[in-house]
Amino acid sequence: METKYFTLITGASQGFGKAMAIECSKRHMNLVLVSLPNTGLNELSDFLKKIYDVSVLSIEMDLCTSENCHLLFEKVKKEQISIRYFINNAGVLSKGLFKDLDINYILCQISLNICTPTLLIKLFLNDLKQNAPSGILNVGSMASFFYLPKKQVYGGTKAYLLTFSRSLRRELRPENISVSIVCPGGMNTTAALTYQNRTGSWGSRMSIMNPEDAAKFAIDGMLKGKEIIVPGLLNRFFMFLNGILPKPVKDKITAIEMNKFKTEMLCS
Amino acid sequence: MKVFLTGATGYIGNRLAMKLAENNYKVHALVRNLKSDNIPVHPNIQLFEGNLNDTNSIEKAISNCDYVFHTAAFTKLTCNDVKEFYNVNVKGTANVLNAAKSNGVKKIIFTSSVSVFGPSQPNSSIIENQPRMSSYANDYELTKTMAENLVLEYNRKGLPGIILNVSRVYGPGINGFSNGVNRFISMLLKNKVVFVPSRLNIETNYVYIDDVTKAHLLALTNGNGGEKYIIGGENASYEKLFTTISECNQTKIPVVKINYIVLKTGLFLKSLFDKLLLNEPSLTPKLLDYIFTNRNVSSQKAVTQLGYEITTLKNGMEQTLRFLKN
Repeated sequence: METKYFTLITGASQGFGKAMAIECSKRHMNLVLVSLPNTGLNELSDFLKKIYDVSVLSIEMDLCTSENCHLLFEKVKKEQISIRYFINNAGVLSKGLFKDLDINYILCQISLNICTPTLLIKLFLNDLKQNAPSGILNVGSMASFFYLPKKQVYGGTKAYLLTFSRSLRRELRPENISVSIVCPGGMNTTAALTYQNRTGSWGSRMSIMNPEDAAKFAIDGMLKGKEIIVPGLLNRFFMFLNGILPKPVKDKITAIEMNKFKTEMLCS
Repeated sequence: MKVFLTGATGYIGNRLAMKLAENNYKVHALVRNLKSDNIPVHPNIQLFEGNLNDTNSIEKAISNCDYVFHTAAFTKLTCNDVKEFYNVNVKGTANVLNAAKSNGVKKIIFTSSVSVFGPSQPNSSIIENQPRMSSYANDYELTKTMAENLVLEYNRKGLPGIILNVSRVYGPGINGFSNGVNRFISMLLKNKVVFVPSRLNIETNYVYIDDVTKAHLLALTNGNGGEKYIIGGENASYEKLFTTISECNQTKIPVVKINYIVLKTGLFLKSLFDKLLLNEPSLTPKLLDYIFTNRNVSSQKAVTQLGYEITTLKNGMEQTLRFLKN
């Protein structure tokens, strides 16, 4: 009997995670989808099964705690499911100025954006080894590269993921496990956010992507084993500028870029 | 029984106002212009001048009403300004919901569209609880979704709200932007030759106007707060639509197909030209794609839970042709 491989996606019920779940289904990849309870995950899973004829296991849980991460691992193992691709997408977005942020919000953000992906990779590493060639895709952000006000902790957690991914990639190369990180810019994820994106300046509207387009690019990159995946021509241009411009100029650009990121902040 | 109604000068709202009035409901209709040609006239209909962004006018019209029908919307898909959509469809809805809640309204029926679900997937009809699979195709879809979210939010706060997701409506009624099918049929009847894009296999759903107004009344009596109901008719391809119209009219419609890509390129150039000359935008490539999108729906939930009944495309078309020829 042919072994059934699965791709696990966290934060899969909405936005970019949902778009990646749909994209993987289109490529006939079987899925384990995880997200918070009552966010429409079961409806999405049922629909993907029906339309794309893939196997989908949906698990509703809050991944903020390490207990739940262990519980997730046990649940997947109980179903005798073997993971080949692991997509760490669940995360908490930024909200505002550091002085205004609730400390519990920040701690939860650090926990979900840093501890959860680290722990989950540790737990599922054996699966990935057994199913090699296999892959890990961490979801970073353009904020992994840029230093932005109101994105202090968020940017910090995404910078951690960038460093973590790039180092781990070198460690796991001999095992034939590819580690990638996707760093998207602003996206039309929820209706409220889409509206804000559409009312932004011309420049920022040009760089906003639809999650389905970014997801296609991200999954392509993951399957090809790319190290850093930046969806969107304009975003790649920002990255290029970041590499060549002197620091004072970059600070000016960052200030302009803030307008773009402003939109992302209001959603969490 | 008193009901508050918005959109009385629109295609659905106008027909609904008359239907309610004929069924002995006292209708408080909010209208922007008392002199509009599309005002429904009936002794049971009382007009209130105002608009959705004038909360005082809403307060005046809604007071002492038991139920609300919110059919008004900004539907002009050629409009490029998202704020125009937002002000009417989102802010306006928020104002209606707010007034309804504070005036102790028992139930609100919100008229929405099946386009909030996005395109239908191959071999699958859209149902109420399916997830949206792609981003919003235009500002209308986006703002109607935001409005639906508001209705559901108020439902959780204790104002029972029912959402009716209506498919493409046709049948007797006033002319307007929401009445594209009628305009198209008139064109078919008038012209000797009709040019159409080559994608005639695209399937969408056509609902007869009187089914839509009946569904609103059924939702009032049988609908549950917080529920969405798809109000559709028959799924049909453009090919089938043409055949049905031909059959009902007992003439053959000479249809000439234009290659879709060629047409789209032409429209792209035309819209560039319109932009340069600051002309009012007409049919854009984006709008063409929107019209030529598969939208098969299933109204099964409305049939079983509301007692909704569907008029066949043939029956509905016969009545529509009779209306348009007079």
